[in-house]
Amino acid sequence: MKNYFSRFAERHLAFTFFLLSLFIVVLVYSCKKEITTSTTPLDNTVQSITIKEAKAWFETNAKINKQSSQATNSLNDRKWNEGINLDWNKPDVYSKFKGSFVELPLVNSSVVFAFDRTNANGITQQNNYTKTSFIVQKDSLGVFRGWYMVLIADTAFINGNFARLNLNTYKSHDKDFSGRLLYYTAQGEFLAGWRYEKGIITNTLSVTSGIPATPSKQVNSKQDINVAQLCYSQPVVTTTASCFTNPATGMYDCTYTYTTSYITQCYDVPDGGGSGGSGGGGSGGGGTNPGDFPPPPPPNPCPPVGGVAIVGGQHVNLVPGGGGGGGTNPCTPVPPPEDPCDKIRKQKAKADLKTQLADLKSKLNLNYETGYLKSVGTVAQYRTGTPNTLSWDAPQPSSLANASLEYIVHSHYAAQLSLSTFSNSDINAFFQYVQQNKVANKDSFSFSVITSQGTTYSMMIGDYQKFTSAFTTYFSDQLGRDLFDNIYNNYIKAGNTTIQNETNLLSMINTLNMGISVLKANTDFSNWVVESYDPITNTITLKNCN
Amino acid sequence: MKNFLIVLSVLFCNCANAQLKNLELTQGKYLENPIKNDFSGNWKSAGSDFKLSIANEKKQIKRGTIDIYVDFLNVKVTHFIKGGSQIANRFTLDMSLISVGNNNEFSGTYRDEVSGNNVKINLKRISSNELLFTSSLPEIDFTNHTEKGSVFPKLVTLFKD
Repeated sequence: MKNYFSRFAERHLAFTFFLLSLFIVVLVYSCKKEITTSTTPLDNTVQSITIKEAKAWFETNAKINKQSSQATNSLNDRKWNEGINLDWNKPDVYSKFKGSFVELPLVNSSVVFAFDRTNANGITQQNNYTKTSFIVQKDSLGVFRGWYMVLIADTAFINGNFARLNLNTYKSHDKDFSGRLLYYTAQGEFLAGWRYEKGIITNTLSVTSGIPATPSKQVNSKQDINVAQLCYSQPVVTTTASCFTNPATGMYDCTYTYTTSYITQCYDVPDGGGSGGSGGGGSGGGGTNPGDFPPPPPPNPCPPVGGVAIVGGQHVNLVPGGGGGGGTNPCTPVPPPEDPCDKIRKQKAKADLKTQLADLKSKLNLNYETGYLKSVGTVAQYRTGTPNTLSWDAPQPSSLANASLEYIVHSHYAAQLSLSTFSNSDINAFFQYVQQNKVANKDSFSFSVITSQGTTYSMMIGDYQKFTSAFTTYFSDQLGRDLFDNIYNNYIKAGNTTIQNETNLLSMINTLNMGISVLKANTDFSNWVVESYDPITNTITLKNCN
Repeated sequence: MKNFLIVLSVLFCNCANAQLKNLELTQGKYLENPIKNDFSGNWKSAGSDFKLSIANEKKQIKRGTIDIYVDFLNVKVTHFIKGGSQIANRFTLDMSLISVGNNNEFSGTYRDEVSGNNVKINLKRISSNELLFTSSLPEIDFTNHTEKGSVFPKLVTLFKD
């Protein structure tokens, strides 16, 4: 019996040990999975979608040609990233930090960030110690960010083998990487920087633009801790080259823009008390593994006007998220989110619009276009077009008083080439009225159309900055209008179905970044919805605010 | 909150713009019209009362975020009998028509100096020996006197001259 119990106890112990071991293995494995930020390859379909999304985001949001305020000897008004071409044919796509990343080299190394090693004003146009790439991140919430990553390797790290620099990417870096890692926004603003020595962050870098004029050495005292800092500033020259082959001469030519800023690197010098340490440390993305470069600091929206003082000025000192504190993150102006219901409220507030649309609907069987023009303080004016033409006698802007128009609505009567949506001329007219200061209120002005195909749409301004920019590109002269008409004809055709034209109109507005919101009415005009377009899925979303 | 009930209705319309080309409008892309040479040369209408001389030219358009090379047609009205009179010499400017992604046609706006109206002109290739010339008034144009129309034919087939 004792033997039996002994054997039972042994077996029970072995089983318990097995379960315990299994639990530990599972626990360790799960914990390891939790903290890892190692990259994961994506299958081809996901890669293709990821690249398409990244490119669409970059073209719309990141490729903003901001004039450099730091250009020192540019020959013309070149923008910071005007000469920067990303090589979309050589993307590296992977998953990391619970998001997807697309890492892109630059075409022909058309931008060079280089530490000037010779003198303060010298220019180093080619520097094999420097490598620049652009990173597009889509995080787990579907939010995009993009930044330039610049690596400036130490001479000792390269040691004559320049190929060694190319082994370093955002995805992974050489365990012995020594040099500087700098992040810039797509518009050229410094985001963050670190000093690496043998693969370890040893310092946090800050940037000063414009001053000091020459490399300098200074001693600052930290106020809160008993440590002094020794800081060195070193100029960084950014060379942006825009190169092309002149079709007339066949000559290859480049235009260069040089921008100088100063990277400041500070070292803590113990001054009797404990050292506060410098830079280094964690990151905002759940920690970094050896081999991972830290992500840039998270966006920091500006405080509301009248609130806390805005951090800014010439000198910023950045610390990666979770790092040693004391750093500030330059704030990013965030426009207030657009409330689609606000547009619908303004549209519904146009007291007679519903009646006028019903009237125009009853006249769609006529052989000419009809419409109403509503100005402030007046009764709406009824206007018609020339019979048997697809034209409408819209008022000449010169005939209108400034800031007078409330809204315009017109019809597309039943005809062979009649469009189920706005014509290119309608869109041009909408831009002209607004930009020639003829509308009473930019936020509520609408230009509407009711068509024989049963559709009713309104255009309103969604983003005035984009709207103004689109006006300059497409509607400020005849070449722009011809260009727009040609592009328009790729999207909108009389032979298309109403849903094709509806989708394609929104697609075009999105692609050309026109800053227009499109509203759609129901059949009795008692309700409106705001249409938004997703270029990735090619779908329309209707927002109803009842 | 009661005024902010947002109902989402998603329309899946992947088929909607299946025919849509992905226009690359940046980075100095050349949107070449592969049949531009078919438009070049001298053309005449069936009754020989309307004749055009056409040459093509590659030009850069760089404005805003747009940076492309496109093909232009420079169209000269060389012969135009209207109401028994020769009016070709009243057009002092060439028509400048462009093609952006539409391979078989060129279009643009031309100032009809006889009527004073802006006219939309379109040239479409039918075959290597035939072009379709169409003209129309814009739906809305702030320079037009629509009642005057345009002297150009609304639609005419042109043949190699």
